[in-house]
Amino acid sequence: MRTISEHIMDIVQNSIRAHAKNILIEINAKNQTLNIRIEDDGNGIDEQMLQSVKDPFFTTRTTRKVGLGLPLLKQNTVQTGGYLNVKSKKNVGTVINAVFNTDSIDCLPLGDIYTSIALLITGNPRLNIDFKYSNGSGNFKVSSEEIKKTLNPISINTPKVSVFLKELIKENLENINVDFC
Amino acid sequence: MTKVKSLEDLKKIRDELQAKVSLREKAEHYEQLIQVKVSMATCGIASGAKETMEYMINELDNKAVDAVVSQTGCMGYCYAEPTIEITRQGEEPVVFGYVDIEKAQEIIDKYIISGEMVDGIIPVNYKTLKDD
Ligand SMILES: Nc1ncnc2c1ncn2[C@@H]1O[C@H](COP(=O)(O)OP(=O)(O)OP(=O)(O)O)[C@@H](O)[C@H]1O
Ligand SMILES: [Mg+2]
Repeated sequence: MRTISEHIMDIVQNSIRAHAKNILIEINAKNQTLNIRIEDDGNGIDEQMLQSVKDPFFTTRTTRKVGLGLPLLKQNTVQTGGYLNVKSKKNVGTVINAVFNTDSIDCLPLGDIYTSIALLITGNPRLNIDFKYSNGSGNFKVSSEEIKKTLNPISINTPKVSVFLKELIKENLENINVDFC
Repeated sequence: MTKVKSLEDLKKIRDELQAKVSLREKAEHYEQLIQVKVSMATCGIASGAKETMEYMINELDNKAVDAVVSQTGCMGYCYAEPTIEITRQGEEPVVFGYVDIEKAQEIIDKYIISGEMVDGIIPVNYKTLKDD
Protein backbone atom coordinates (compact mmCIF):
# COMPACT_ATOMS: atom_id res chain seq x y z
CA MET A 1 0.00 0.00 0.00
CA ARG A 2 1.32 3.42 -0.90
CA THR A 3 -0.94 5.58 1.26
CA ILE A 4 -2.91 5.42 4.48
CA SER A 5 -6.02 6.03 2.38
CA GLU A 6 -5.39 2.79 0.48
CA HIS A 7 -5.05 0.95 3.78
CA ILE A 8 -8.38 2.35 4.95
CA MET A 9 -10.04 1.25 1.74
CA ASP A 10 -8.56 -2.22 2.23
CA ILE A 11 -9.43 -2.60 5.92
CA VAL A 12 -13.03 -1.62 5.20
CA GLN A 13 -13.18 -4.48 2.68
CA ASN A 14 -12.68 -6.87 5.63
CA SER A 15 -15.76 -5.36 7.31
CA ILE A 16 -17.76 -5.72 4.11
CA ARG A 17 -16.70 -9.34 3.74
CA ALA A 18 -17.80 -9.90 7.36
CA HIS A 19 -21.30 -8.73 6.29
CA ALA A 20 -21.24 -5.49 8.24
CA LYS A 21 -24.21 -3.17 7.70
CA ASN A 22 -22.82 -0.17 9.53
CA ILE A 23 -19.23 0.98 9.33
CA LEU A 24 -17.63 3.94 11.07
CA ILE A 25 -14.37 5.38 9.78
CA GLU A 26 -12.89 7.94 12.11
CA ILE A 27 -9.64 9.85 11.68
CA ASN A 28 -8.23 12.05 14.36
CA ALA A 29 -5.07 14.04 13.73
CA LYS A 30 -3.33 15.77 16.59
CA ASN A 31 0.13 16.21 18.13
CA GLN A 32 1.89 14.47 15.21
CA THR A 33 -0.23 11.36 15.54
CA LEU A 34 -2.85 10.09 13.19
CA ASN A 35 -5.39 7.91 14.90
CA ILE A 36 -7.59 5.79 12.66
CA ARG A 37 -10.54 3.84 13.95
CA ILE A 38 -12.66 1.52 11.84
CA GLU A 39 -15.64 0.04 13.58
CA ASP A 40 -18.10 -2.44 12.11
CA ASP A 41 -21.08 -4.58 13.08
CA GLY A 42 -20.04 -7.57 11.01
CA ASN A 43 -19.56 -11.22 12.02
CA GLY A 44 -16.61 -10.47 14.23
CA ILE A 45 -13.72 -12.77 15.02
CA ASP A 46 -13.84 -15.31 17.84
CA GLU A 47 -11.34 -15.36 20.70
CA GLN A 48 -9.17 -18.12 19.29
CA MET A 49 -9.03 -16.69 15.80
CA LEU A 50 -8.27 -13.23 17.13
CA GLN A 51 -4.92 -14.62 18.31
CA SER A 52 -4.21 -15.94 14.81
CA VAL A 53 -5.18 -12.68 13.16
CA LYS A 54 -2.33 -11.07 15.05
CA ASP A 55 0.05 -13.58 13.45
CA PRO A 56 1.15 -12.49 10.05
CA PHE A 57 -0.62 -13.84 7.05
CA PHE A 58 -3.58 -15.51 8.70
CA THR A 59 -6.67 -15.65 6.51
CA THR A 60 -10.10 -17.30 6.35
CA ARG A 61 -10.16 -16.59 2.66
CA THR A 62 -10.64 -19.55 0.36
CA THR A 63 -9.33 -17.85 -2.75
CA ARG A 64 -5.82 -17.29 -1.45
CA LYS A 65 -3.64 -18.81 1.27
CA VAL A 66 -2.41 -15.69 3.03
CA GLY A 67 -4.06 -12.56 4.33
CA LEU A 68 -2.09 -9.40 3.81
CA GLY A 69 -4.33 -6.53 4.83
CA LEU A 70 -3.80 -6.43 8.60
CA PRO A 71 -0.10 -7.50 8.61
CA LEU A 72 0.79 -4.78 6.10
CA LEU A 73 -1.11 -2.16 8.08
CA LYS A 74 0.55 -3.29 11.28
CA GLN A 75 3.99 -3.08 9.72
CA ASN A 76 3.33 0.42 8.44
CA THR A 77 2.14 1.68 11.84
CA VAL A 78 4.92 0.02 13.84
CA GLN A 79 7.65 1.43 11.59
CA THR A 80 6.54 4.93 12.63
CA GLY A 81 6.58 3.99 16.31
CA GLY A 82 2.80 3.56 16.29
CA TYR A 83 0.67 0.43 16.64
CA LEU A 84 -2.29 -1.58 15.42
CA ASN A 85 -4.96 -2.82 17.77
CA VAL A 86 -7.75 -5.25 16.86
CA LYS A 87 -10.75 -5.77 19.13
CA SER A 88 -13.53 -8.07 18.10
CA LYS A 89 -16.48 -10.00 19.39
CA LYS A 90 -18.08 -12.85 17.49
CA ASN A 91 -21.46 -11.79 16.04
CA VAL A 92 -21.10 -8.30 17.45
CA GLY A 93 -18.41 -6.59 15.43
CA THR A 94 -14.84 -5.45 15.13
CA VAL A 95 -12.87 -2.34 15.98
CA ILE A 96 -9.55 -1.68 14.27
CA ASN A 97 -7.37 1.04 15.70
CA ALA A 98 -4.29 2.11 13.76
CA VAL A 99 -1.97 4.78 15.10
CA PHE A 100 0.75 6.45 13.03
CA ASN A 101 3.35 8.93 14.19
CA THR A 102 3.28 11.45 11.39
CA ASP A 103 6.61 13.04 12.25
CA SER A 104 8.42 9.78 11.48
CA ILE A 105 10.14 9.76 8.09
CA ASP A 106 8.75 6.26 7.61
CA CYS A 107 5.15 7.42 7.81
CA LEU A 108 3.09 6.85 4.69
CA PRO A 109 1.30 9.89 3.30
CA LEU A 110 -2.42 10.13 4.07
CA GLY A 111 -3.13 10.27 0.34
CA ASP A 112 -6.41 11.04 -1.37
CA ILE A 113 -8.68 10.08 1.49
CA TYR A 114 -11.55 11.96 -0.23
CA THR A 115 -11.38 9.49 -3.15
CA SER A 116 -11.28 6.44 -0.86
CA ILE A 117 -14.26 7.62 1.16
CA ALA A 118 -16.29 8.66 -1.88
CA LEU A 119 -15.64 5.30 -3.57
CA LEU A 120 -16.48 3.39 -0.39
CA ILE A 121 -19.72 5.27 0.19
CA THR A 122 -20.98 5.29 -3.40
CA GLY A 123 -19.59 1.86 -4.28
CA ASN A 124 -21.46 0.11 -1.47
CA PRO A 125 -25.03 1.32 -1.78
CA ARG A 126 -26.44 -1.13 0.77
CA LEU A 127 -24.12 -0.10 3.58
CA ASN A 128 -24.23 2.77 5.99
CA ILE A 129 -20.80 4.26 6.17
CA ASP A 130 -20.05 7.15 8.51
CA PHE A 131 -16.87 9.12 7.99
CA LYS A 132 -15.56 11.52 10.63
CA TYR A 133 -12.40 13.56 10.53
CA SER A 134 -11.11 15.85 13.20
CA ASN A 135 -7.94 17.84 13.80
CA GLY A 136 -6.88 21.02 15.60
CA SER A 137 -8.63 23.20 12.99
CA GLY A 138 -12.03 21.59 13.18
CA ASN A 139 -13.96 18.57 12.07
CA PHE A 140 -15.96 17.17 9.20
CA LYS A 141 -18.40 14.31 8.89
CA VAL A 142 -20.47 12.71 6.20
CA SER A 143 -22.61 9.58 6.07
CA SER A 144 -24.16 7.30 3.48
CA GLU A 145 -27.48 7.74 5.19
CA GLU A 146 -27.75 11.51 4.75
CA ILE A 147 -26.55 11.26 1.16
CA LYS A 148 -29.08 8.58 0.28
CA LYS A 149 -31.82 10.60 1.93
CA THR A 150 -30.90 13.73 -0.01
CA LEU A 151 -30.64 11.84 -3.30
CA ASN A 152 -33.78 9.76 -3.15
CA PRO A 153 -34.80 8.28 -5.64
CA ILE A 154 -31.48 8.55 -7.52
CA SER A 155 -29.04 5.70 -6.79
CA ILE A 156 -26.00 6.61 -4.73
CA ASN A 157 -23.70 4.70 -7.11
CA THR A 158 -24.49 6.96 -10.06
CA PRO A 159 -21.14 8.24 -11.44
CA LYS A 160 -22.07 11.93 -11.15
CA VAL A 161 -22.86 11.49 -7.46
CA SER A 162 -19.51 9.84 -6.83
CA VAL A 163 -17.62 12.63 -8.59
CA PHE A 164 -19.55 15.23 -6.58
CA LEU A 165 -19.03 13.48 -3.27
CA LYS A 166 -15.28 13.27 -3.81
CA GLU A 167 -15.16 17.05 -4.38
CA LEU A 168 -17.39 17.74 -1.41
CA ILE A 169 -15.14 15.76 0.93
CA LYS A 170 -11.97 17.24 -0.56
CA GLU A 171 -13.15 20.86 -0.21
CA ASN A 172 -14.40 20.34 3.33
CA LEU A 173 -11.15 18.71 4.44
CA GLU A 174 -9.06 21.42 2.77
CA ASN A 175 -11.15 23.90 4.65
CA ILE A 176 -9.83 22.50 7.94
CA ASN A 177 -6.26 22.37 6.58
CA VAL A 178 -5.94 18.62 6.16
CA ASP A 179 -2.54 17.70 4.81
CA PHE A 180 -2.89 14.92 2.24
CA CYS A 181 0.81 14.37 1.59
CA MET B 1 -14.08 30.92 5.11
CA THR B 2 -14.51 29.97 1.48
CA LYS B 3 -17.76 28.46 0.38
CA VAL B 4 -17.40 24.69 0.16
CA LYS B 5 -19.77 22.14 -1.32
CA SER B 6 -22.55 20.89 0.92
CA LEU B 7 -25.50 18.53 0.79
CA GLU B 8 -27.56 21.48 -0.48
CA ASP B 9 -25.53 21.26 -3.70
CA LEU B 10 -26.25 17.55 -3.83
CA LYS B 11 -29.94 18.39 -4.16
CA LYS B 12 -29.13 20.26 -7.36
CA ILE B 13 -27.37 17.19 -8.69
CA ARG B 14 -30.38 15.09 -7.76
CA ASP B 15 -32.74 17.44 -9.61
CA GLU B 16 -30.46 17.51 -12.60
CA LEU B 17 -30.32 13.72 -12.72
CA GLN B 18 -34.04 13.42 -12.23
CA ALA B 19 -34.64 15.74 -15.13
CA LYS B 20 -32.83 13.23 -17.29
CA VAL B 21 -35.90 11.15 -18.03
CA SER B 22 -34.03 8.06 -19.11
CA LEU B 23 -32.22 7.85 -15.82
CA ARG B 24 -35.38 8.45 -13.84
CA GLU B 25 -37.15 5.61 -15.57
CA LYS B 26 -34.15 3.39 -15.11
CA ALA B 27 -33.93 4.19 -11.41
CA GLU B 28 -37.23 2.41 -11.12
CA HIS B 29 -35.84 -0.49 -13.11
CA TYR B 30 -32.42 -0.72 -11.61
CA GLU B 31 -31.52 -3.81 -13.62
CA GLN B 32 -31.75 -1.77 -16.82
CA LEU B 33 -28.69 0.24 -15.91
CA ILE B 34 -25.30 -1.04 -16.96
CA GLN B 35 -23.69 -2.39 -13.82
CA VAL B 36 -19.97 -2.12 -13.25
CA LYS B 37 -18.39 -3.90 -10.29
CA VAL B 38 -14.77 -3.35 -9.39
CA SER B 39 -13.00 -6.00 -7.32
CA MET B 40 -11.54 -4.33 -4.25
CA ALA B 41 -9.57 -6.86 -2.24
CA THR B 42 -6.03 -6.21 -1.01
CA CYS B 43 -4.52 -7.59 -4.21
CA GLY B 44 -6.87 -5.41 -6.27
CA ILE B 45 -6.08 -2.23 -4.37
CA ALA B 46 -2.35 -2.96 -4.54
CA SER B 47 -2.64 -3.34 -8.33
CA GLY B 48 -4.47 -0.05 -8.82
CA ALA B 49 -8.17 -0.98 -8.55
CA LYS B 50 -8.88 2.33 -6.81
CA GLU B 51 -7.49 4.32 -9.75
CA THR B 52 -9.39 2.10 -12.20
CA MET B 53 -12.64 2.63 -10.33
CA GLU B 54 -12.11 6.38 -10.11
CA TYR B 55 -11.26 6.60 -13.80
CA MET B 56 -14.32 4.61 -14.86
CA ILE B 57 -16.58 6.79 -12.74
CA ASN B 58 -15.15 9.98 -14.24
CA GLU B 59 -15.41 8.69 -17.80
CA LEU B 60 -18.93 7.29 -17.40
CA ASP B 61 -19.95 10.65 -15.96
CA ASN B 62 -18.24 12.62 -18.77
CA LYS B 63 -19.87 10.47 -21.42
CA ALA B 64 -23.22 10.51 -19.59
CA VAL B 65 -23.54 6.73 -19.71
CA ASP B 66 -26.44 5.35 -17.69
CA ALA B 67 -24.43 3.06 -15.46
CA VAL B 68 -23.86 2.40 -11.79
CA VAL B 69 -20.46 1.53 -10.36
CA SER B 70 -20.00 -0.50 -7.21
CA GLN B 71 -17.33 -2.39 -5.36
CA THR B 72 -17.17 -6.12 -4.96
CA GLY B 73 -14.93 -8.44 -2.97
CA CYS B 74 -12.17 -10.68 -4.23
CA MET B 75 -13.26 -12.50 -7.36
CA GLY B 76 -10.42 -14.98 -6.97
CA TYR B 77 -8.29 -13.74 -9.85
CA CYS B 78 -5.50 -12.08 -7.89
CA TYR B 79 -3.10 -12.69 -10.77
CA ALA B 80 -5.27 -10.58 -13.10
CA GLU B 81 -6.07 -7.59 -10.85
CA PRO B 82 -7.54 -5.10 -11.28
CA THR B 83 -10.59 -7.07 -12.38
CA ILE B 84 -14.03 -5.70 -13.17
CA GLU B 85 -17.37 -7.30 -13.89
CA ILE B 86 -19.80 -5.69 -16.31
CA THR B 87 -23.45 -6.55 -16.77
CA ARG B 88 -25.16 -4.99 -19.76
CA GLN B 89 -28.94 -4.91 -19.69
CA GLY B 90 -30.35 -8.39 -20.03
CA GLU B 91 -26.96 -9.99 -20.73
CA GLU B 92 -24.71 -12.32 -18.77
CA PRO B 93 -22.03 -10.65 -16.64
CA VAL B 94 -18.57 -10.50 -18.18
CA VAL B 95 -15.31 -10.28 -16.18
CA PHE B 96 -12.28 -8.43 -17.50
CA GLY B 97 -8.76 -8.75 -16.10
CA TYR B 98 -5.74 -6.43 -15.98
CA VAL B 99 -7.97 -3.37 -16.22
CA ASP B 100 -5.59 -0.44 -16.05
CA ILE B 101 -6.72 3.01 -17.15
CA GLU B 102 -6.05 2.34 -20.82
CA LYS B 103 -8.01 -0.91 -20.72
CA ALA B 104 -10.82 0.80 -18.81
CA GLN B 105 -11.12 3.37 -21.59
CA GLU B 106 -11.33 0.65 -24.24
CA ILE B 107 -13.95 -1.27 -22.26
CA ILE B 108 -16.09 1.86 -21.87
CA ASP B 109 -15.83 2.93 -25.51
CA LYS B 110 -16.35 -0.48 -27.03
CA TYR B 111 -18.05 -2.90 -24.67
CA ILE B 112 -20.11 -0.62 -22.43
CA ILE B 113 -21.23 1.91 -25.00
CA SER B 114 -21.61 -0.25 -28.10
CA GLY B 115 -21.59 -3.85 -26.89
CA GLU B 116 -18.52 -4.70 -29.00
CA MET B 117 -16.29 -7.42 -27.57
CA VAL B 118 -12.80 -6.52 -26.42
CA ASP B 119 -9.84 -8.68 -25.35
CA GLY B 120 -9.09 -9.49 -21.76
CA ILE B 121 -12.23 -11.41 -20.79
CA ILE B 122 -11.67 -13.97 -18.06
CA PRO B 123 -13.75 -17.07 -18.70
CA VAL B 124 -15.65 -17.77 -15.53
CA ASN B 125 -18.22 -19.98 -14.02
CA TYR B 126 -20.28 -17.12 -12.64
CA LYS B 127 -21.39 -19.03 -9.56
CA THR B 128 -17.88 -19.16 -8.14
CA LEU B 129 -17.76 -15.36 -8.07
CA LYS B 130 -20.24 -15.08 -5.24
CA ASP B 131 -18.23 -17.25 -2.85
CA ASP B 132 -15.70 -15.04 -1.16
N1 LIG C 1 -13.64 -6.58 10.31
C1 LIG C 1 -13.50 -7.91 10.36
N2 LIG C 1 -14.55 -8.69 10.70
C2 LIG C 1 -14.42 -10.05 10.73
N3 LIG C 1 -13.29 -10.71 10.46
C3 LIG C 1 -12.21 -9.99 10.13
C4 LIG C 1 -12.25 -8.56 10.05
N4 LIG C 1 -11.03 -8.11 9.70
C5 LIG C 1 -10.26 -9.21 9.55
N5 LIG C 1 -10.95 -10.34 9.79
C6 LIG C 1 -10.43 -11.74 9.74
O1 LIG C 1 -9.02 -11.67 9.74
C7 LIG C 1 -8.47 -12.30 8.58
C8 LIG C 1 -7.22 -11.57 8.13
O2 LIG C 1 -7.52 -10.27 7.57
P1 LIG C 1 -6.51 -9.61 6.54
O3 LIG C 1 -7.09 -8.33 6.05
O4 LIG C 1 -5.18 -9.54 7.16
O5 LIG C 1 -6.41 -10.63 5.36
P2 LIG C 1 -7.56 -11.07 4.34
O6 LIG C 1 -8.65 -10.05 4.32
O7 LIG C 1 -7.95 -12.46 4.67
O8 LIG C 1 -6.82 -11.06 2.94
P3 LIG C 1 -6.36 -9.74 2.15
O9 LIG C 1 -6.52 -8.58 3.07
O10 LIG C 1 -4.94 -10.00 1.78
O11 LIG C 1 -7.25 -9.62 0.97
C9 LIG C 1 -9.61 -12.30 7.58
O12 LIG C 1 -9.48 -13.37 6.64
C10 LIG C 1 -10.83 -12.44 8.46
O13 LIG C 1 -11.06 -13.78 8.80
MG1 LIG D 1 -8.19 -7.96 4.15
